[in-house]
Amino acid sequence: MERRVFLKKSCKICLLGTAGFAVVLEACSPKAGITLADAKSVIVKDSIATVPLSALKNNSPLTILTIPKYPYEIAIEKMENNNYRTLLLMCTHYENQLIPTGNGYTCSAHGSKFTKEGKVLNGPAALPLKELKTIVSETNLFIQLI
Amino acid sequence: MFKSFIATAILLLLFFCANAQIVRTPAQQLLITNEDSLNAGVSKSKTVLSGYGSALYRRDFNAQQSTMNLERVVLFVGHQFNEKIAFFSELEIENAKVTGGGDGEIAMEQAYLKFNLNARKYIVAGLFIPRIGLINENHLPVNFNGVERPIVEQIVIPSTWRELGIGFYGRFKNKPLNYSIAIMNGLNSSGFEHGNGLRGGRFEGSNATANNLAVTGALQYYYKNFIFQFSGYAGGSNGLTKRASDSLNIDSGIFGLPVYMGETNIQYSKNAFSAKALFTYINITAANQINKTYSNNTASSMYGGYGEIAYDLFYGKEKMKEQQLKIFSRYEMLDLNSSIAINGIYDGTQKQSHLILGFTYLPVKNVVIKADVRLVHTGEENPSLVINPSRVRFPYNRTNQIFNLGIGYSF
Repeated sequence: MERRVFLKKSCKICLLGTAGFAVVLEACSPKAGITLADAKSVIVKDSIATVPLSALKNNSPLTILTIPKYPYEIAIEKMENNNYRTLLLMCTHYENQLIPTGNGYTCSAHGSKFTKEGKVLNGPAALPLKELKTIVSETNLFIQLI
Repeated sequence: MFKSFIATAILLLLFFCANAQIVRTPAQQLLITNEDSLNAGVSKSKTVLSGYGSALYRRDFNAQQSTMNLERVVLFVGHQFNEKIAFFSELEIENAKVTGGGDGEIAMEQAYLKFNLNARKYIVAGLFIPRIGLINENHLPVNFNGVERPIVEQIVIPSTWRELGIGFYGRFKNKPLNYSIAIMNGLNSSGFEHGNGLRGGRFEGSNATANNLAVTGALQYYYKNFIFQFSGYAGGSNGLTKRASDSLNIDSGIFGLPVYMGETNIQYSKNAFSAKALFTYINITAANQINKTYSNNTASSMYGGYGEIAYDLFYGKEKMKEQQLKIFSRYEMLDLNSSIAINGIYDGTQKQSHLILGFTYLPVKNVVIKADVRLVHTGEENPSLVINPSRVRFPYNRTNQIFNLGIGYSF
């Protein structure tokens, strides 16, 4: 196959793929269950992040919080009885940043997988994700960073 | 007088300390403990050791040959310099020992510095494995089914494929969409071998030519129980100088004698059931120039794909919650000469299908015992490629059966 023909075919496939992918993305993103907390409204002082509850999306089961200059994201999941589970998205194997998936977290470095609750699903990680101490008030969530 | 001054100073100090504490909310006070203040910070400098390995027993029924091999032992060493910079390496010993003329190998599988830009973006520089296919990034024996890595990801995608370069990895803020792009040294087309895909053309960090370069990129999207990935590779396979290339009458430059690869895969996992499928296609537009120069019968294009399903029999069983017993089936097909150059020779044996049936048992998360049977079927042998055959050579059999039994670990 000539280079020009190959490139032409590849470009067509890529364009079609991208278009299809974009449609899938748009169709799927609200259901993916992952939203971003408004980092601007988060205050960090003395290793405690104060997160206004208004920054968490009410309808989303899971919010991924990014704190400026903090090396890891934090997954905040609303539980029953107005409780919250906050997991540090740091792989317990080599401390790499984790990738939130639709049903848990994965590490691209060695393939460790964790459930939404932070339990190890696939090694080489052996320890569950670190759960951060969290207290909830009427208006804020206080998270103890490590 | 002096005593009253000291007493006043202590009182003032206590007052200011008390006022300083008042700044914290009651919730903040509750969160802070002595233990936390001792352990504060995620960025302590530290060195980590870990690794993985595997050994296998194999019976090739056509050859009537059984073998056992300590396939690989890999040692990871990582060091965290600070919260922004880390080092990571994998040192591999293949086939237990390295001797002159033996097929053992000591090689760096990875050795790179990682620079964290923020919680979602980082740069790697050094010898690293690009995101192409599934096995490249997930090659630990506890994380794939089958004693052998998928054949397509051994030959068509030459996993573990590491080269020297720099890569940028990231994830979008509000969509579970990951991306990566990397620039690496290119391939060496003089090392391509008939029947071995691109495998022999890798430099693997050893005195790579940088006159030719390669660009690779990937997109990964996570949606519920699915993972979708697209990746691509484009790179030159001629690292010779322009003068040397001109003397051989072959293309030179950064993308001289280019190799293009496209790959896509999808994974699904829910409860006990998991499935994956992968397809890859490679195009070598200047295969005729490579053949003319190196006589290695390089094909113009090749492809490979596989589909796999697995079911964990122990899933949901309380007594077996630490264990997994997956039964799986994988079907692979590949053709290493799906099209050939004008000066190439077609080899039907390079068009293959493999059906693998087996189980993967993990008594704990990081130890695995595996067994499988691989049923192989290929095309016809091309007699013009059989040169000086041995008198005791078996006639070529288009079907074969291979039994594998293996163990593996990671930590």
